[in-house]
Amino acid sequence: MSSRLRATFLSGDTVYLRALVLEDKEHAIAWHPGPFPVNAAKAEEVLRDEHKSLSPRVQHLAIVRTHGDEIVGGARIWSDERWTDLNVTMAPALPDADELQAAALRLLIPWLRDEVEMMVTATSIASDQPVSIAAAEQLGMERTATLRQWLARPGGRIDQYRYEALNPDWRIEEPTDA
Amino acid sequence: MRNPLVVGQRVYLRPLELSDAAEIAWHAATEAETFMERWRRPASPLAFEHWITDMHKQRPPDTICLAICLIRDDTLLGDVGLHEIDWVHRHAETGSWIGLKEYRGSGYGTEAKHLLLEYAFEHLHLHVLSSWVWEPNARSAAALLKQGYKPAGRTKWTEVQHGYYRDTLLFDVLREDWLAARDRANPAPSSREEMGEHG
Repeated sequence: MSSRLRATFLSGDTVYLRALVLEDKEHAIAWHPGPFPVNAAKAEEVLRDEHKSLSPRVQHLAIVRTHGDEIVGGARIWSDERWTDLNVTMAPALPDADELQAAALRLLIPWLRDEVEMMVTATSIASDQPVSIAAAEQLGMERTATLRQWLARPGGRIDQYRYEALNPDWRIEEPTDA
Repeated sequence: MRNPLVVGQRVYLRPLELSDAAEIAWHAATEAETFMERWRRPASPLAFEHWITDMHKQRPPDTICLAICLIRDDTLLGDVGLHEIDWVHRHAETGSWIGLKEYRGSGYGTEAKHLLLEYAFEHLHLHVLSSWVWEPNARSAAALLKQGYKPAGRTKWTEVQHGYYRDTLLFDVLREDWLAARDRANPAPSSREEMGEHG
């Protein structure tokens, strides 16, 4: 059972995160980024390719609903030794996608910033996701950029915000000409 | 002109060919500026050949890089490109590089960028474009503003310079921003005659 792989340090009341496993190829629409169809064969190719190393530069985790073990999204984490870019994808047609994404952020941001000690943890949030925006700000993330009309929605376009969590333990001295 | 895609007054844009790889590698080898965080390093023509080959395999492409060439003699000046193209949300990131330093600061890069934006907005019907500039690269940031881009924010502590972490600035441009900038750069024909060629 893949639920045995629930990361105890990334578990909450609403969602938990775990490593992706080969059986997840049957649910790739939920965790694979982008709107295009991904069949099981393609998903297996992606899973095998992304897990060639035990310490990859990109980690891809499943976001799973705590009650029922349904995969509701994916968290793709690119990082080097000091910088990480977090890309959260939620399954299509979820009525509570914003709440689930916010719950995932509440687990992922403290882990990456405070335990992994990333200097900067960055993520993008659409302007029509108020619960996730509130969660990011409660977590101490700063809105560092706004891309105007970046995303298409039925009937119009919306902005995309970039949020960054800066780790205060990195004692960064600002250049004098900044 | 060889296989032109978009044509301006002095330069045109064409697809990158495998035969351009050696020239681009030479541009990289003779780079004079140190403020560009990633480009001042020797790179093999083999790597550029691989990059060009891969780029043309993608359908639809998520990257479109185009050669900037002089109309008068086809000299390859550098390249401009659209990266991480999102065909659903109709946005992309732009980048540009004039590899021949004697052509910098003379308006060739701006003309090429306007051709790229024309291609992006008028041919591909993209809606919005972004561009990243490392904060110490003030010349590129100023050029973006001239081309119609607006400041969108920054990302913190991306690269190191002289022992300090420096930020990267983010810009975006909508079609109407670009049209206004293009009109400012190319006034109506009657007034253009009075002002002479821009750049």
